[in-house]
Amino acid sequence: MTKNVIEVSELSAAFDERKVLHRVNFSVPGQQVTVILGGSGSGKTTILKHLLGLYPVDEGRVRIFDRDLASLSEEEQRLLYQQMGVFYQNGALLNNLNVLENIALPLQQHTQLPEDLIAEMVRMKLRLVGLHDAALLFPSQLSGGMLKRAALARAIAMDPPLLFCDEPGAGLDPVSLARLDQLILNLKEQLGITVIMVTHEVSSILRTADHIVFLDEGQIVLEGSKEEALASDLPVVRDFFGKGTGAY
Amino acid sequence: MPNTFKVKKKVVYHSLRYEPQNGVLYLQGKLTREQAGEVLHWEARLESKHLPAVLCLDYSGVRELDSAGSTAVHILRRRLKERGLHLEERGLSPEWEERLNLFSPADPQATAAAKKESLPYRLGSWIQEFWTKHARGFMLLMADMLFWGLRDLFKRGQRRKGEAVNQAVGIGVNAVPIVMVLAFIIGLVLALQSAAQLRNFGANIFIVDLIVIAMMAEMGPLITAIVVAGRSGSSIAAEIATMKVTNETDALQTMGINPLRFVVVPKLYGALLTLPFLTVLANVAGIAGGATAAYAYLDIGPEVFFNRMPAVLYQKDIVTGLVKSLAFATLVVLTGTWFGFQVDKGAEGVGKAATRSVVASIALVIVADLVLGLLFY
Repeated sequence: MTKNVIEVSELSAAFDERKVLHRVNFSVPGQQVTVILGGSGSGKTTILKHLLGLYPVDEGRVRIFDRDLASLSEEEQRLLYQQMGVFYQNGALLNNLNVLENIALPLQQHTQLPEDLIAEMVRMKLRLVGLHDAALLFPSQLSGGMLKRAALARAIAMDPPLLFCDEPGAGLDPVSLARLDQLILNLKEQLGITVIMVTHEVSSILRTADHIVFLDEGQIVLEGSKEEALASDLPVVRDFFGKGTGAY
Repeated sequence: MPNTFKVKKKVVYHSLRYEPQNGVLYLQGKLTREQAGEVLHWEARLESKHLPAVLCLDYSGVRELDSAGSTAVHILRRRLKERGLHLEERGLSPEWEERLNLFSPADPQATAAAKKESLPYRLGSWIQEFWTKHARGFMLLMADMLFWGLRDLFKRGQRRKGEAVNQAVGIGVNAVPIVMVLAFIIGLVLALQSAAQLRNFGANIFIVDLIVIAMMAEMGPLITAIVVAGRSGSSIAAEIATMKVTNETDALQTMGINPLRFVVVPKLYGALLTLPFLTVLANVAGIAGGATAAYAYLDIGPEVFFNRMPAVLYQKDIVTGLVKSLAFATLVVLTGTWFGFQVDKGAEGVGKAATRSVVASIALVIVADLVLGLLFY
């Protein structure tokens, strides 16, 4: 039984008067791929932003590596960020830096490593994501799939034990998506990292998920293994996996 | 006598320990990003003349190994081999071996920077690119814009109703306060600087000639064009660049709508419609500024100043100013459009387009001012 890396309890969130999360409780087991899924507007991205500390926790509690997110000082938050890699949906690479410089950035900012070692590490990370021939290109010169892989290389630049992936499959063809999933699985298997993925790509979920958190209208309707999700009788879950009547 | 390494200065390393008598380098503890740099530091301080023929790398003490540590080990192996050493390895657990394989180095050739060409070659390439990509394209855009501008004058075509008026308000009417304030100040300063010289020669009254001709034929249109280039030229470039980045121009194209006619032609009308009026207002404000300075420093009252004005004001100067304002309006819209359409993907490109548009349109306005000044001289 692996230890929980993240624990969310009674988390609620609202924008103006509109409640988007209602007393959400779930945990993320270490060294597994946890997929947070649900339809559009179910609150997936809001949860992710709370986990990343981008939204303040007003109601409830979020604990990452046994630390309460709300009680962290700025310095503690900065150190925590070094333990996290975030793979954004649109890549979020800096446009005025080439791919090599983008990936080297966190290493240059947070480590004392010599430049030649950093350069070699970046090349190695690029090879890992199959992008070694695009190191000197700028983000505007990359295709959608290349952009995703470059973003993943940057997310794992610091070897984070915790990797967040926000809609990694959005805009990718099935073959590229399968490769990306395999890459994420390799990282999990070989480095033992914990992956939290927000997605609604069913094929990707079936390939990668160990643990599933299913959201509907800001509430968790199911938390469990992939098998439990697939065997669920809940109409919203059955519809999501293409097994329902579509009546929901 | 065993081979020994000599290290220049005693340094304490946490992630390695060297036993020269045995020729063994023990890698130990945490080989992670906090300490991986030590490995390369140690290697860099070795003196080549004391290198052993065979060096054994012992990994049995390694407790943690991340990508930084793995990369450092790969670089160490490579550099020691380049120095002619024969390497032996021991104590490498399957886990660390797998980790080292996962983080194996990339082919440096693939990421090497392109070879730098010679200066004449680069200069030639730049000139060729400037002509084929920029100068020719700019002229084609100008022809296209003038064609659609003239054609849509008589037929609305793909313009939205009221759009030209909206643009006229945005480009011209909203710029009235800033143009008038700047023109007043420039007229004031111009008169102020000239007053001292004219007074020396007892030619105080010629301040009227100087201010009126300078403002009507030169400064009025120029100030107006520069302000509009800064305000509206950048805004046109940024708007078109954003549309291009977000594929809006592609969407228009695929809907069978010419983006130039739909987006740019109304802006051209707006600028052409308002810049002459804006220029007249700038002239009035500039002359008022000059009259203020003339009254304050040369004792030339408003009555004298304005009575002399008709004597020095020729129709040609008025026409020159207005023709210039029309030319400047076209140039500002054209430059903004050109740089807007030149943008690649990305938010950074939008900012660059706006900046380049302002710089280029101000430069072009000044060059055009010279050309028209010579023509009307």
